[in-house]
Amino acid sequence: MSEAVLEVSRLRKGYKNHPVLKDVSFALEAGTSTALVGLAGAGKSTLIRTLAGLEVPDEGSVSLFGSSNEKELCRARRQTGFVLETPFGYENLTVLQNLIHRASLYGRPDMARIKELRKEMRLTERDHVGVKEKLRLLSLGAEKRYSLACALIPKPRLLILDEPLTGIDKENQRFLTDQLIRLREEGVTLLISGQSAAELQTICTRALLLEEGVLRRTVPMEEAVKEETEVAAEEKK
Amino acid sequence: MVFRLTCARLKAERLLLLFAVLLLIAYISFCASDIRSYTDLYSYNQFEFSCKKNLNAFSESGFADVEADPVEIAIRYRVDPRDLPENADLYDVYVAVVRVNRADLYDRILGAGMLGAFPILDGIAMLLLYPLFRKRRIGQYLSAGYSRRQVFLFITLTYLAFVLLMWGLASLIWLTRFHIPFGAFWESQLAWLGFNLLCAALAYLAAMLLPRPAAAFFASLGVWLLLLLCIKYISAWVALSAALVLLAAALVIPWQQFRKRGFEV
Repeated sequence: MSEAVLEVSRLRKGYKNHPVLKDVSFALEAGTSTALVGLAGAGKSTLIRTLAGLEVPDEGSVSLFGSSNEKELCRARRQTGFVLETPFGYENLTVLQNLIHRASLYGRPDMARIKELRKEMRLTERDHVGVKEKLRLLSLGAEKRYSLACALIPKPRLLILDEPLTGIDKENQRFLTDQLIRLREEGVTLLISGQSAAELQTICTRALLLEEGVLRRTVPMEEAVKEETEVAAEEKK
Repeated sequence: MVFRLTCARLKAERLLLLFAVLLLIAYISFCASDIRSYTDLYSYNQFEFSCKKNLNAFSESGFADVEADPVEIAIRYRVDPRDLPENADLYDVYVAVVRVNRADLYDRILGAGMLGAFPILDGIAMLLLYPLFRKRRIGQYLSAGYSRRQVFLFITLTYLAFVLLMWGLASLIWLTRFHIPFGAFWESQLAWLGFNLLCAALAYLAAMLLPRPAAAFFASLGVWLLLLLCIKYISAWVALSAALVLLAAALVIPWQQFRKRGFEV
């Protein structure tokens, strides 16, 4: 059995006496790709924000690469890429400036790496994202590509993404799916949230089903898709 | 690490910084022209120049009546007759009047200018602090592996950097604009430094605790006015005690809030 890169144990989080996450526990092994599937309001974003350190859990613990105390956890987050709902960065700066700023948080910015990422994530002039294109002017698809580029700056071993394929056009969906498959094949561990298992089935091999803050089951991806199709068919009737 | 973060943030916020500096220059220009119009600094200088050539200018300027008793003129222009030399003539009175009025002028420039400027400067710095709480901005630091303590420290340092930068710039402009002697300037500056830091702490506390910039701005301005009234009508010691409590709160409460609730102010 390979090592667990992420372990969540009995995690609880709520806002003003309204519980959002209730005793969530799971583990991700290195090199696996897992979908976190749940409807809107199920607690996916809160869970990911807690993993990213943006929220403080009320109870329970998070362990990244075997580190669970605050100091070590911070260090472990430097090897993890996060893509949240809203892209990180300064709206009034350009994509390039933001990428350089983001890279500077990990040390001296590696310009070759930034150039490579811009090319890989289609954030160049050729892709209609000019050097002077400000973050606030990006389309949703380009925003997601930019977020993924930011997350890849530290060459992460674990990548956690919050609904990267939701709300974007088919072409961008296809592009991001291909990129995530490539990363999985390179050995990066993936945790991707989404409202539908079907959109993540080509990337992930298993699914964590989250319902109203409770992790109901962990199932193979095919099973999650099958259940989803059956439920949709019943609702149609 | 915190220093690097602060530098990165200041660099990233350069547009806001530029905006703040422009706003500050506009404010100071406005303030300067306003002060100049009512204190009439230049007419004093011209008057002094012409008086040196001809003492009669003292009366021609309408400043004093040559026929009147010099002591009477001195009292009329707020000069204590005891400060005049024995058998003072009109020129002695003139020198005393200029001295007293000039000292008064400096006080008015520094007083009116800085009294108004610092809360506004702190207010600007506080407004600049708000964008930092946006998820997309602060989240990048936390998700990049910086601890809450480091991010909190860097927020505070960024804020202080903004306040000190603007304060330094305002001081420089005042110094060069009015050619104020260093002694008088620094004496006043040191006296105001305490006051400025208090305003900064108030603005900081408000920015950390209140959800909207406008609410925070008016709340800090309100507390600042209350403290001024307290100094004037109750006791400076009461005001000082209240200020110290506020300063302590400004350090402790935001950190507690930030630790518990994260960046969601």
